[in-house]
Amino acid sequence: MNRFSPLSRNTMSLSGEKSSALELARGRLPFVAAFFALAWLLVAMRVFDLTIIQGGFLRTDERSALATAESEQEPVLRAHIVDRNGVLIATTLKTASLYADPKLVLDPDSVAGGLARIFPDLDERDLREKLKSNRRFVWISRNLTPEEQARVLELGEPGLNFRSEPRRIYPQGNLAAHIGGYTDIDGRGLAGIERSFDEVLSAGAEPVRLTLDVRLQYFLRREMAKAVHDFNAVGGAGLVMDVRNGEILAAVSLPDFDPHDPGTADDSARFNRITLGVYEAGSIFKIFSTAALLEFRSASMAQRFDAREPLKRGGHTISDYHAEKRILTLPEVFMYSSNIGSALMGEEVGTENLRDFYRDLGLFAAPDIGIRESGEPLVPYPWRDINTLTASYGHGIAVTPLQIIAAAATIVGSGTLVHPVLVFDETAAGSHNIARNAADLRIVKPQTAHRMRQLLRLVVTDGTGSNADVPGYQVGGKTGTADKIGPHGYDRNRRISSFLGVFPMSSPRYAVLIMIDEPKGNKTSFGYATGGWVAAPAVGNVIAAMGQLLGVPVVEQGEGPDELVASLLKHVHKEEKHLVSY
Amino acid sequence: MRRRIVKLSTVVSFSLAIASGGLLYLISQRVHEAESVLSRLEGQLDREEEAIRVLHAEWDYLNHPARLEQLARQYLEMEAPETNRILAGVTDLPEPFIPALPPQKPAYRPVIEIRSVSAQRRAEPSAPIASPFPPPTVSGASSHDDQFNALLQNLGSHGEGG
Repeated sequence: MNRFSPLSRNTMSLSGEKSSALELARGRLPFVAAFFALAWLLVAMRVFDLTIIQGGFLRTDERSALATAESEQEPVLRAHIVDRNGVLIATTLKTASLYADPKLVLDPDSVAGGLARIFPDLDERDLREKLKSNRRFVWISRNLTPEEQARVLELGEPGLNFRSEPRRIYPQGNLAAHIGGYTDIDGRGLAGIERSFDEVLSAGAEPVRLTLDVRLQYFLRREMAKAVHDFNAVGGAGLVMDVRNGEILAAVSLPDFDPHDPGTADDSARFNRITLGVYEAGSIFKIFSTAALLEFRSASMAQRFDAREPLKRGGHTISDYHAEKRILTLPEVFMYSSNIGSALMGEEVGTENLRDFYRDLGLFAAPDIGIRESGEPLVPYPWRDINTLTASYGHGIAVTPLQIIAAAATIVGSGTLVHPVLVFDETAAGSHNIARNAADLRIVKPQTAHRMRQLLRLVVTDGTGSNADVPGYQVGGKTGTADKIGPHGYDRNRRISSFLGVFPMSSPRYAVLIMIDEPKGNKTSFGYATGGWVAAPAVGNVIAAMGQLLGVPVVEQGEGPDELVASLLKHVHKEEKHLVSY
Repeated sequence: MRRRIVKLSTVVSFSLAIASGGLLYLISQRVHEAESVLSRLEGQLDREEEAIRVLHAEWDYLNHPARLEQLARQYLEMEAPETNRILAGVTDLPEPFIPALPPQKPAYRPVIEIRSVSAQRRAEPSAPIASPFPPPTVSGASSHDDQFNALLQNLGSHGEGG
């Protein structure tokens, strides 16, 4: 009958018949029954689903792992810094940090004892206080080693817990501390590449690739550390550069520090002597003044300079440290490193010319290699004629070691300007310099560059740099020794001894610069602490090691003089063995 | 005429709804399953990546030049050569030593069986003492070729098998 139809109220109302409450209830009963049946069915299906369908592939441990993985938002790990071969200089690892929830700690006394045994640097009494406090979260120790973590887990204390935290790791330790830099505990870059590339690194994308080669870095540091130790020096700076493209292959500043713990190092150790420290380089600057003479005056090798008497100009006297006291030819001035001769050269070049030449070489402005620790050179202002004379032999002008090696690379390389490069990175200053190196900006003529190579080779074969020679690699170079400025003018007992080596000289490929700060003479150097005795042997050792590592072809040396310098020797008058010179 | 209580279309739509509901449920289950597999794989990937990071760092730490140098000094009886011992190229190698006599095949010698001590004593003086060329252990190039061919065949059959 229509009026009993459970599905149509319409019918019921249309029929107009009154139904008793009982009938209405009876009519609704199937709905209720169906509803409950359906509900039970759903529950049954869900149980079946959870136990049979999903039970197979979700085991409890995995489910909890999933839960934690979902709840914990993965922090972006700071990107690597790598060397040119992809060797890690800095990386970030997740480490466990230990904290405690004092409310859950069952027995604070025994737990404090156990923790004090695991972490000897933590005080047991402090720990006990921490574990008895009313807070729900106290740090115990951060960045644990896996071993420490295992031992804490063995305590089996429910109130101790770990939180995963990123930690910056420097696998090379001290080796590239000044260039790579360091971060604070929260991973913000505070120095070096870590600081200047902070944004790139913290985005966590591609690693920042440097031009450094960790192996060369090691050779350089090893030899510098030996020189610093042997000559009881206070520090040093060293660089290895690819002459052809300005890539910095190694850069070391001593003393250095552990980038994991920069806080314990003193300021002197953290000071970057490569790009931040400015120094008077002394006779190494004769490379630049001699090149200027050849470039502007097309000087001949037979040109003579009177070095018999100290040079007096405008109240200043310029004298030679180890005076020849005779008239010197141009190659002799260079190989015996005569200050008088170089000053006369500068005078002949002229003040304007020399100043502009130095500026073109990049000696007046700090180069941008992508590191913010960058020292501005100290250039005389105003530049008077006397400054031209002193700057010819490297006094009265202070520049960074990086500027020296780049300027020297410019002169002995192809003669086009070399911009130092530290970072292979499309977005950064590095690429800017890479592009600039590709664009030729000629500073000296190829003939001048060739003459300078001959002169540098002469210094090593017959002059002050003989300690840097490595048979077969055609090393050329220039010594430099500069007195440091003390409270009363130049201090004769505190000096910077340096050597700039280039090899192979017939077509220069690599330049090596080592500057040693305040060396003291020892027995092996007969008491001398000049560039030729302190830095030259170190440069020679670096060249020997890197030549073999990089497979630089060995040039067989025949009897007689090196063919590069043969044409110069007729202008050289050798009387005695020169042991010391500036 | 008595109207049907439930229209056919209603039944059909109800059953369709139930069927699609069931299907939906099954699909949602499968999605759920796939998601959990995905997140498990992602978790695994994360752990692998972390392990790679750690191993990479450890590798470069263990390959620190100072450590390698120290280990080489300790365990290898080798040192960096002087530059005068390095040759510029292959052409600078000295001529290899060429023996004056062409190599000869040693004559066939019968094996002497030793039966008794006395026989051994008698045999001793006649035993070969020394020959200018020691008998080769493998009979020259042909045996090398055979070995090489065998190896090739081996490899070939492996390749086909795999």
